[in-house]
Amino acid sequence: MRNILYLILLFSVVLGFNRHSTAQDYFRMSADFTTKVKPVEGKMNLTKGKIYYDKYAQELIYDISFPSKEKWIVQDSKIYKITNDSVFFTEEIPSMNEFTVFHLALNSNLTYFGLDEAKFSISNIEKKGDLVISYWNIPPHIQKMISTIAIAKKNNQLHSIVITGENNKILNKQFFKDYVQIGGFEFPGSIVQIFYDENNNEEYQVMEFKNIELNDIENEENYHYQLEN
Amino acid sequence: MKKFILKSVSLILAISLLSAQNFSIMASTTTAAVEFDESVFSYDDDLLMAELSELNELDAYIETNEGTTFDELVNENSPLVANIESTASPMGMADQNGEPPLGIPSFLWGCVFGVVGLAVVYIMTDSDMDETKKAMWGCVASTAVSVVLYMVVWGAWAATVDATY
Repeated sequence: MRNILYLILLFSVVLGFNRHSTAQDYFRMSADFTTKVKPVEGKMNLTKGKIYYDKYAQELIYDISFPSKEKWIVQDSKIYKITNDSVFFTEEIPSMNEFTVFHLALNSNLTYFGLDEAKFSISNIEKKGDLVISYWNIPPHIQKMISTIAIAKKNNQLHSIVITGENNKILNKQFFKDYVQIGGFEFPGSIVQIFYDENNNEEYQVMEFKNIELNDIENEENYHYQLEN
Repeated sequence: MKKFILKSVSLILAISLLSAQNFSIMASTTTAAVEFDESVFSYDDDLLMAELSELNELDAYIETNEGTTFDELVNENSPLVANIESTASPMGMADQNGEPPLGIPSFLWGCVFGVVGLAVVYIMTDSDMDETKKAMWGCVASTAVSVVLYMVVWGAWAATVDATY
């Protein structure tokens, strides 16, 4: 009997170590980003640079190189826009960094885009081709504005989100593509968003990410901007 | 004994009332069944590439000429920036002309749906901080009203129970 207890104890310890070794905590990331915006009318937009995000500090830093060198710091409830180490624009905002794709990915919550964490519930799941599509219950008061949120998974990764409005008219589609896998961390290399206006014209927005680096502890200053600088 | 029974009945009634409210909320949270064709979860990649061709051309130029700024290209009269905004927009379409999601005031989104409404405004306006801030104030207002109502109801209930004895 004592031997069996020892065996169980040994098995639990080994299992515990094994679980600990595979569940690495990814707490910060940096990446080169490119944002391309093509509206229905008017000028287009191209922004390039590097993003830095630390999920514990919840400080999102856009180090922009094009159109011009500037930094956007999204910190607590403020956004600061900085050129030549001086703030040229400040605005009070709610703390929203935890809703970003960076925070969701670092917390392994990207699969359902955080909807499950926001207490939405699934009403139906179906398989179509290689997609697993889940339909989410919409709180009653917004059913007039948003009729459906459908999330498609492919190979157990977030593939796309479709949001519809009145009469199931599609308002917005988002596609998450070209996943980069680093250990247990995965992040979309590109996010394509298509917005539809009342005349069904399409507006495009593409965000591309590359050179993703995780848990960089040698360049602490990149992840925490000291505003007094 | 009478006091104990009265207290128990009051408690059971209060729990029943709360449960009934919860069930009514849960019951109406269901959505009409809708199913999309697989094609809805795709887009025309060739069309997207065509629409973004000018941006891709500029992007390729910046990649090979690292450090080039918009002003430099303007000074060179480069055709690459003829139809390009001079301002940064790293989070995408941040400037949506101040339009709240679906024309519904952002304050109401936050007020009625709390944190979920806040998230909806943030996602639908593509990170428009002005609109999100309004939703946050709605969220704060509804929380404050809920707390006051909760205190009033419980205060009234406590007063009723005290008066009974």
